[in-house]
Amino acid sequence: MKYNLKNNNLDELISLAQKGDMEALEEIIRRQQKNVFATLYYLDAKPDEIMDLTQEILFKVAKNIKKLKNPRTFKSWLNQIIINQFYDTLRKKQKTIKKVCLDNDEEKIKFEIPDFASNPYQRIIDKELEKAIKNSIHKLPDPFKAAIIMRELQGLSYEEIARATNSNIGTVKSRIARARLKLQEYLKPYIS
Amino acid sequence: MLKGNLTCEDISRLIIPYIDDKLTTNKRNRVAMHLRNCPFCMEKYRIIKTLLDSIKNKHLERAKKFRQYRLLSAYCDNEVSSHTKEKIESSLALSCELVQRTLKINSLRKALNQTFENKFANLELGLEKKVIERLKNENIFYKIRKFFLP
Ligand SMILES: [Zn+2]
Repeated sequence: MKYNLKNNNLDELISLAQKGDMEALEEIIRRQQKNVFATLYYLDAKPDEIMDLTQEILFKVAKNIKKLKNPRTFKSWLNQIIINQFYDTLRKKQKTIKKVCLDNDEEKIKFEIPDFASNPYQRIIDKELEKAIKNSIHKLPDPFKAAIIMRELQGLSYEEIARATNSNIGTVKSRIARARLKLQEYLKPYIS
Repeated sequence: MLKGNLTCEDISRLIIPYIDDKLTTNKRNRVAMHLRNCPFCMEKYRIIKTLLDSIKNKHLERAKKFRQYRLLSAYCDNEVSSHTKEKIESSLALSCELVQRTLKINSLRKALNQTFENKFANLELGLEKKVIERLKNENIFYKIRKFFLP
């Protein structure tokens, strides 16, 4: 890197990137990729597609960053792209599945993200909990799922979530509360 | 239709609209009159009324409970006005149950946040170079195309 962008905040990076600074753009992508990947993971993206999907979304971000009017709304905008891309892919695939195969026992690809907790016992407990959380989130209805992921995984405000999902704050409030009630129920054995 | 006195059969049809107060004044009065004079229909009315009331109450109770939970959930996210926050905090001081519920929301949040953080802490994707590369290639492609196909 020509100069150090690591200390710039997101707003600064965005306005640089919008002026055509490729290094700033690269730094934005570098910072956001994990978020995008994790969000897709909890939205229940297919293991063999999650990397491609992540890359596709990041590419859209890179390509369209100049169209973002207010850098402050970046997070909502990013999540709009994630959700649209995710559900578009899902819809297209459902169509092709209907057309192509009735008895295709496609091999399920095992997909585990290695975990790095240091203590082996803690690791086992964490793994159990992680699995339970992942399965519980996957079970949620789509709007609840998206809202709780944006809130808890990405730390978006209610206003940002409302903007990303094209709904109002009252709806976001309800969705998050409903998601939490369901998760509390599903995760009862794990959480005191 | 429904001229003269109402029969018990008429009442079976009208009993629910009567309870829901969906009848015209005239019809309502006639149903009431029949009920006063017919112990059989009166009994039926009482049973249905009790049943509907208890369903309605359960609904109201559930809705009220959810509204409260929704408020606590927003409070845990620091997404309530300072006025509401004060109100919630003074209720919390008075109710163990509310405190319990708030604690549960917070332990869920903590479990989720920690899990998310640990899960992806050391994940290295390294997609930034690929994405930028692809963007540059696409830009070059467009420039070439523009040059040849004005
Ligand atoms: Zn009668």
